[in-house]
Amino acid sequence: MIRPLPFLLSLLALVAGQAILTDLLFGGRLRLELQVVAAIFAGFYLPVVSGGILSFVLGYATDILAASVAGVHTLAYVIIYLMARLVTLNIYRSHPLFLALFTFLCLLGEGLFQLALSALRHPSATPAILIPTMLFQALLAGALSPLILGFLKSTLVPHRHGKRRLD
Amino acid sequence: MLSRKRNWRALGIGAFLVLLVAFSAMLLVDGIRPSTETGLPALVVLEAAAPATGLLQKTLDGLKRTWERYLFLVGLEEENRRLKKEQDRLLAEASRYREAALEAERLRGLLQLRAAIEHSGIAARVIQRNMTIFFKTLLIDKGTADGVEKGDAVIAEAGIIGRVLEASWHSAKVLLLVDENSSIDCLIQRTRIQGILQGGGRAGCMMKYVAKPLDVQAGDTVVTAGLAGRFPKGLYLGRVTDVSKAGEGLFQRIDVAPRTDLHRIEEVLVVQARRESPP
Repeated sequence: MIRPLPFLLSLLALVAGQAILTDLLFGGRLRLELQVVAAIFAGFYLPVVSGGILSFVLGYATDILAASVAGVHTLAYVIIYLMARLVTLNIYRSHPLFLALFTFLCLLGEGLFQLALSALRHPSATPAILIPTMLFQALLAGALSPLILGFLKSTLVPHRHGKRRLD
Repeated sequence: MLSRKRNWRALGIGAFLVLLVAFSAMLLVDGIRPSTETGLPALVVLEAAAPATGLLQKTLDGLKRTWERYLFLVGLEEENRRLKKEQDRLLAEASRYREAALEAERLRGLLQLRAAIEHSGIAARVIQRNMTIFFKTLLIDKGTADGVEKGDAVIAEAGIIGRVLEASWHSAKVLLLVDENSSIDCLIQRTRIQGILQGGGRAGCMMKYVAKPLDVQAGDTVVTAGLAGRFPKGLYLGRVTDVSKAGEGLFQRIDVAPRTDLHRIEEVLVVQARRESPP
């Protein structure tokens, strides 16, 4: 069973760390979506129902607080959660390089989804210039993800019979 | 028996996941359509997040000020000199505008025109800035309990920066004018040509639906047209940076840059528009 207070404190630390990093170092011009890592964590370690609900709530909260179109992050985080669940069936999920690559691909996929939506709704805008920033953000978040996942795993997932899994 | 139980369990999990994706997709489809009401879950999320984000933003702003004032002084003297020069120029310009305003007031009185819209403002502090690639929004610390309504114009020191997108009881989300989903009726101050100012993300803004034969030049000031009543007329929006009449189509491509640095806004004014009923 996941411990609620450590989980909430961990999420708060994640959001605070992300805000400090982007605001102080990049003047707010870059944004790291480290809460995507929480959705990946849910797919790797949480039971199906609670992990799905958590991803949904994370995406919904991100939409309400930051997005101008509701539902974009909600759908993206749920799909990322599903991808993480599918991947854990077959692949060794603790290798840092795998974690970084998986996070990078998830964020890139989310960015391309938003790009496609933006291009459909506002054809006169120039979304192509955003791709380098998208790539850099995804790379940076991917590089940080093994640390964050390790932190979440050590804080929230208890050892049981030598195996870390909550279902 | 056990395998049947396992099959039912797998079916249940599959159904749950399908429902989750379908519900999320429905939210997205609903989010794309313009709506008038903010739902209760959204109000609860905004209200719950406001205190924590406010505290965090206050801490970050304090750290940034310390960094900029004491540790990052490179270029400060040059910027000071530039700002003093700009201030002198603006004072002279303000004096000319004051004269023009007085004259307009006299003329209005002569013609017995009445102001159609009264404005009052609510000062608010920015508690979160969200400047992602695709979405540009702010959270402020005032909501419906303070008189803020969805659709109200939001102003910073140099002019309009956006409008209220959603408002809970004590906080509100502001859609910035550079967000792609933002559209504001506007006009060129010099020639009074009307158009729609749409956000262009990192590219700033674009003024749309201006026919190619019409006269628009780089450097022209863009102000609000005030047609819908929500945005007061004549407030500064930005300056034209580029005009292009190339390509097919009936309209020019006009790029507009807002003056306010949207990454540094800390306080804003929410303008409440009220219409006077005619006599």
